[in-house]
Amino acid sequence: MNDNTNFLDYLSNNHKLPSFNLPTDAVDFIARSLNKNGEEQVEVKMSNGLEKALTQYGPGREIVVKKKKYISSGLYLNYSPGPDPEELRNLSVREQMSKKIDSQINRFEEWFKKVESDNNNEILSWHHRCDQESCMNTLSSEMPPSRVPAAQEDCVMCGTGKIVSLPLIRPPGFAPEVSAKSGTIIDSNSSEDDPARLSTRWPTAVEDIGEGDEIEFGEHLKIRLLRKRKLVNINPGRGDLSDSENKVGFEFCKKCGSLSHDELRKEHNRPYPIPYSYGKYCGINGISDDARDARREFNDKRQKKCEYEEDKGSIFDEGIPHDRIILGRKFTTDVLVFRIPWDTSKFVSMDPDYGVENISKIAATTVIRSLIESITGDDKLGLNIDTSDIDGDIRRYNTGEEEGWDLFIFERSDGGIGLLEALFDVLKRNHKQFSTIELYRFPVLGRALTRLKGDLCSTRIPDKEGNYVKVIKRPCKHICSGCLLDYSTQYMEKDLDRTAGYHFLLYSIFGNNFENEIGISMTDDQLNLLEIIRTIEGYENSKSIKTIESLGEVKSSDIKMELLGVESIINKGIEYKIHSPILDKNWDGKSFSRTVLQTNPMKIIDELTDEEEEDLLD
Amino acid sequence: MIKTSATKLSRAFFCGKWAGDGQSTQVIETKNNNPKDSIKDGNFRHILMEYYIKKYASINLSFSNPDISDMADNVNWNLLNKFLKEKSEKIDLPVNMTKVRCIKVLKKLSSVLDHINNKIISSREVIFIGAEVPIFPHNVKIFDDILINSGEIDALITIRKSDGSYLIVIIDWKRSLSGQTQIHNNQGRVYSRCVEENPILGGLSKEDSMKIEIDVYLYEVGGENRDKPDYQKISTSDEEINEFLSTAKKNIGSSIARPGKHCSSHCKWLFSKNYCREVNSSALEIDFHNPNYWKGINHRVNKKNTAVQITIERDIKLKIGIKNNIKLRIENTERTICIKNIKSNIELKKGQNIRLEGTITRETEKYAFIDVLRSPIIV
Repeated sequence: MNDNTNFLDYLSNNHKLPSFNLPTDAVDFIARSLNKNGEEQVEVKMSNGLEKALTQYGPGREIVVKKKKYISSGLYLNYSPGPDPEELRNLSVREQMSKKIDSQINRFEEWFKKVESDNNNEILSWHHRCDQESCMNTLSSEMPPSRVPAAQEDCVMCGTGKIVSLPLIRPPGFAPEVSAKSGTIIDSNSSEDDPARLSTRWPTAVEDIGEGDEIEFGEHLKIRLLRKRKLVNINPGRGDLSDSENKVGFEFCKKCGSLSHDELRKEHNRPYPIPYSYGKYCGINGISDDARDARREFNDKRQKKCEYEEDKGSIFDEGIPHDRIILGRKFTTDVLVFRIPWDTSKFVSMDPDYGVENISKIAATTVIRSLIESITGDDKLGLNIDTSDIDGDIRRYNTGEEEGWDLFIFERSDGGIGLLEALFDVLKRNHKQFSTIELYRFPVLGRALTRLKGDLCSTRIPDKEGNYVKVIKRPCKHICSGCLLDYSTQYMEKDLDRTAGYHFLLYSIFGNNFENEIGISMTDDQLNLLEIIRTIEGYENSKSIKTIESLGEVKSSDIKMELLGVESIINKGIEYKIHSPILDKNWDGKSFSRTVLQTNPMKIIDELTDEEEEDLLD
Repeated sequence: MIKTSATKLSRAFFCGKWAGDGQSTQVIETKNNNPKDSIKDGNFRHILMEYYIKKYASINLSFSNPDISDMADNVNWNLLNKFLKEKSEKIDLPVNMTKVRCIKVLKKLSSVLDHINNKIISSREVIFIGAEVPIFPHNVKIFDDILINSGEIDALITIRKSDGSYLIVIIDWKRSLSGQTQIHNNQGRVYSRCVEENPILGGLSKEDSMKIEIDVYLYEVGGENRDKPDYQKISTSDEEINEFLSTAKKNIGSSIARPGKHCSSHCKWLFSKNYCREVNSSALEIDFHNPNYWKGINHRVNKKNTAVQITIERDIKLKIGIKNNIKLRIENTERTICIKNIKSNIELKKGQNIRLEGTITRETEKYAFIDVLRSPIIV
């Protein structure tokens, strides 16, 4: 702390003040307009913590209040900064009036000047990330790209991606588009643009993991508690951070704060009205010729749309313009990191080809969601952690010697309130009792494994008459409401897969022996393989190798029976099977990938019939 | 007698000017600083194969013992790492050749060798395996008056068949088989003729030449998965080889330009001060002025590294560090070509033609993107 810092600011910024988990970074959504008399009125004023506001009030978002729709379309400032007095000093009275008028018309012009020159990066910082969808590695620096050497290099994580740098703005508030001419809020139904819907993706970057308290479980799982780490939540606009640069973030106007997913129109409405009465802030109420002239200027400008200027739509770094911004929230909190290596040699690639499902990422995402569920849903932990208290995300790591995933859970409130520290203590206390025999009873991990194994799945299958009957404990194909599907995961349903997550978590505990623990969890896949194999000439009599292990219990009014699991398929003494989705095996004509089974089963038939291969030999 | 290499001869099949030495031309330095990542990655995969074959396969006469993946295990990693560091001083290799990166690449190479083992060698007796087998100093006369005096064959396997005859397998490693393979096919045909004329390259004697059969394959070694590898068997009938050689022979001394899909920065004339004037937009692989290019579904998957020529329709200043949008009106619809990563500012007037090279992605029916590898020159 230096002498110039306000003491309360210091305490607040360093999270020394109790927040009681209430948001301390609230921002407004304000819909201001002009009434019939040309006077300013506030139609809507609501506020929320920045974390929620980023998506709930983000540009393109529809907000309904008293049955009226408002579409957020720009930033909002309660009080716009006026021109710098130094700048006004040498100007004539008329010129000074013009400067002041401009600051009322273009409420963001001075604000952007200030945030661009702020070396502390409080409002404007930089987000550097790899452009490979599978990687998304982020650099910890918040400085502009010209001052970050790593931003000029290829991504060290995946080795192939390029680092893309985007200006990140902490929004001061949000507002809808207001007609410059009438001062009314643009009716969402009559808007020229299609109302944009935002994805609710929240890429979260965490700075380098570094040192922290650590405990190890099984072969590969390491859990670390990191205190007071800086995280960032990002609203990347309609696109995703992995999209090409012209789709990520928003075009913006430095004059009025308008934001647009697409190209900002040359002439656009501002996100605020300018009542005639604002002239009083410009010193133009006198009776001099200058004042009269200035009043005309003010009245003329306030009723015209804002005109987009090329250099007023870019953040400059060493003269290089960046014409799209992303919105974000930086915050400091406690983080619990579950580090699990990815077996590069035996597992599918962490960087699959374009269009190929990223199993690695899906497996890691599934594990983190199951861990979050285990923490928030298990009353036995005695911590009373709610889903609104924590969230999680994944991040790749690559030490050069080893690569893998850091699955991190963080407290959502700025500063953190010690929930994860308490959880870490529970894990630490139980660490000595950890054993693979009692694995499914171990706090957090046991509950996650049980869920991922499919023990809680609830599916329906048709009986002989075609009536659907409920089956308990039969693992679902993807995810279901019994295991991982709920309101908090439905938006990421396609990014989750119970089986891949289960196998990855098993690998973290059992290492390369994890396949022995899979059991019958891929019965449906083996049965699908059987269906396919039987269509091939010579394979009609293939059979499934059943186990005595129960796959689930069929329950209806008149039936109660056990379903038996299937481990593999056999034909003429040769065993065929679908292997774990996370494994990448050399082609041997006996063990097939589940991705191929689901996306291109003809390939299995081709491989088994092997017609083209015969040509290679003479 | 024409003394040349397989590469030059293959080029000559397409264009006499390209096959020429190009010494009289001065290339304009518009290339972005670093060699393309794809080239570095290709080099990386080639030298890993070379290292494995020379150190293990040529001695054990096997592609499975040891598995190539073992080169990056804890026991062997230091040796491989040292070799890579030495090599990186001589050729362009990726900057971060970490253990993880090697494991990824070796995984793919393992699946390639596994495929060759199972499907080409297939329990037969291997008597020779070689890597980067040099044609020189043998100077093989392959056709009337064509002498091949340079070049290296990526991999060569000699198999003794049960009837006592031999099968020599020539393999060319390719990072991808999706590009222009015709030139590679022709190279393979030249190598096939070289081996036929000089079986000593495959570890056999001249006397064995009557009992030799030759197969040539292109194998894709790009990627990181153990997928079944893509490969292509090159047809090496005498008819095809002779047809190719006779056309190539006609062109090789002619210096006549025949522009086409093969035009790229590999040809010194494309970006030289006295640039090739025969090239126009329609001759190249991608023609932005052709309405057909803009039709069809999303082409995002069809990323292509290629040269293009564009006729400017509106005055524009292309600036360093930003995305420059060139607008074209095709069939009454405005199309945008976004150009990123140019090396110098250029002011362009309506009607001027620019030639550049880069990774091109057509994202929509109105928008294409060029990540520039060779900045535009005005032609």
